[in-house]
Amino acid sequence: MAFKQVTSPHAHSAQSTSKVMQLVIWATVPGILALTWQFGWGSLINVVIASVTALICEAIVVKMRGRSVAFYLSDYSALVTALLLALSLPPLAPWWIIVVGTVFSIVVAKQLYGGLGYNPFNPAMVGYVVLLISFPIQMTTWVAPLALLPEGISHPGLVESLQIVFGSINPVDGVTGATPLDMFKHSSGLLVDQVYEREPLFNLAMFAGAGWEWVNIAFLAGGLILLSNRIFTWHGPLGMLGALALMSVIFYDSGSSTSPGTPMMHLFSGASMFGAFFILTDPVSSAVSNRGRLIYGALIGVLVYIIRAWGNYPDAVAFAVLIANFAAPFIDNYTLPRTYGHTDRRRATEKEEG
Amino acid sequence: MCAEACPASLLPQQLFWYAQAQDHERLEAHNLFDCIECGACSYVCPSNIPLVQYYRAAKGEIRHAQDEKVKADHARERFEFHKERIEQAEREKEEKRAARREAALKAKANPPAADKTDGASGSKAEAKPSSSAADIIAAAQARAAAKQASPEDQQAKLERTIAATEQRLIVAEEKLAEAIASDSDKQAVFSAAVENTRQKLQQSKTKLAELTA
Repeated sequence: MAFKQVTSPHAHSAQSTSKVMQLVIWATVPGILALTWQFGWGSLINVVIASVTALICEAIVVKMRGRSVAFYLSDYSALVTALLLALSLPPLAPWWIIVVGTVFSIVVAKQLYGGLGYNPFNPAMVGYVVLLISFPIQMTTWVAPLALLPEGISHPGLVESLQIVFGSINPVDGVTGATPLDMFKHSSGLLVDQVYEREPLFNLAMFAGAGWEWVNIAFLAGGLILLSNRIFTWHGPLGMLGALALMSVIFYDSGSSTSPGTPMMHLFSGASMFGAFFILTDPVSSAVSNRGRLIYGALIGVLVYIIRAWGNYPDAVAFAVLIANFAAPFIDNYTLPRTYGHTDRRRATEKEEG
Repeated sequence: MCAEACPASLLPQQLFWYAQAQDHERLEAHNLFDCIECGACSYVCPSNIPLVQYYRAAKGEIRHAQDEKVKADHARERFEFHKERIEQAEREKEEKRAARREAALKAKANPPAADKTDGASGSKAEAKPSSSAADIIAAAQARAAAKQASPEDQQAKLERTIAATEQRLIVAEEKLAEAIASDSDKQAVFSAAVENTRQKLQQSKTKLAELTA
């Protein structure tokens, strides 16, 4: 008789990796719905293409590594990566963009580093950054939100969207448009109030840019579902959103013409909520302690704002997350929690320093 | 999840990582030995990693390494002490050898030197040990004198000695006569003994005369 395991615990909670991943997938549903409502079928098509590609890639690589394909596919982690990448890509992007990004995410950023649990970087964000650097035009062409479509034009239907994605027809003029962050990047010379008055993107919106605010609210709702299910702690998201809000308040510049935008706009457009609740909460590539996650999140928030305000890219969640992933082990070394019964925190590097 | 579950506020993920890497220093910096092995981290682990098993193995490894280190230190200390001791013994021997060699050289060099000059230095060098020997003799004589209780005892003792010596003289003369009669080889020996005994008798008699006078 062989004991499989002789140490405690002799029971396990039902919270397996696949359950956690499924919950994450369900939590993106509000976001997917909001994206589809505001930007048409494009996001859904992205999700389908990315998911299929991810599953195929994962199966091939796992097979090549001589592991159990069924076991690794059933943990849903490849699907989550595909989903997160698909939701961050612009709707109606060409199909090969999605495929290239997904292949890079799964094969290079995840499996070549050792698979789930060993990747130092968030795979979805690696894929996104590769695409953004390699194909800037396709990656920065966003569909205009519902409220901004010209009279008589609606988002392309499902069949038409598929044709656009697979390159057989070109999208109708006016279907694409600037994002709120683009708008502020290129609106120098105008006061914030003037931008809000003149641009339909803002004057048709409640507080942060038509369409985008709904998407962000939906992702916020999904994130809160995950938070209430204790999939992650509040430290990372709060750190990021807090730092982003603080930075945008400090540098708001009372709405002058050089202002990078209002705090509300920074919190509720672009990938702010998506990043805060779905990207930086990745347990593998983030910091491990609560204090560490707070710092990690704050670092991302600061970086997002810096790149948005003074960098070359309109949005920056992917870059900020990757940079913070680099810093995560460093943060971990200096944020060990105080162990129960000890009076002081220790540092992981104390031997090397001493 | 595991970090939130840990009742000792440890970081199970990091501990697992360093346990796999057998990085003992990091494990101790992360307070591995504060782990009470409750299994809460392993219970909540979505990947069902047997974390506690890793920690127990790592603890065992660290303890083993510490024991080995203590042993090694002890052995090294003993070896170093042993080496030191051997070296010291060797040094002492060498010193003794050198001293002896020097003394021999001196002894070889000094007597001819003394003869060549005036012999004063040589006799001086010899006087020292002889003076100490004279001291010892004087002390012994003093002790002997102290033992001699009174002149009467001394006189009685001398008289007894004279009587015994006279007896021995008679025996010796008889033996000598016998030897002369039988023309033995021992004739000379016996005559020497007779002469010797006679001298002793004479000495004792003069001593007695001195004492009584």
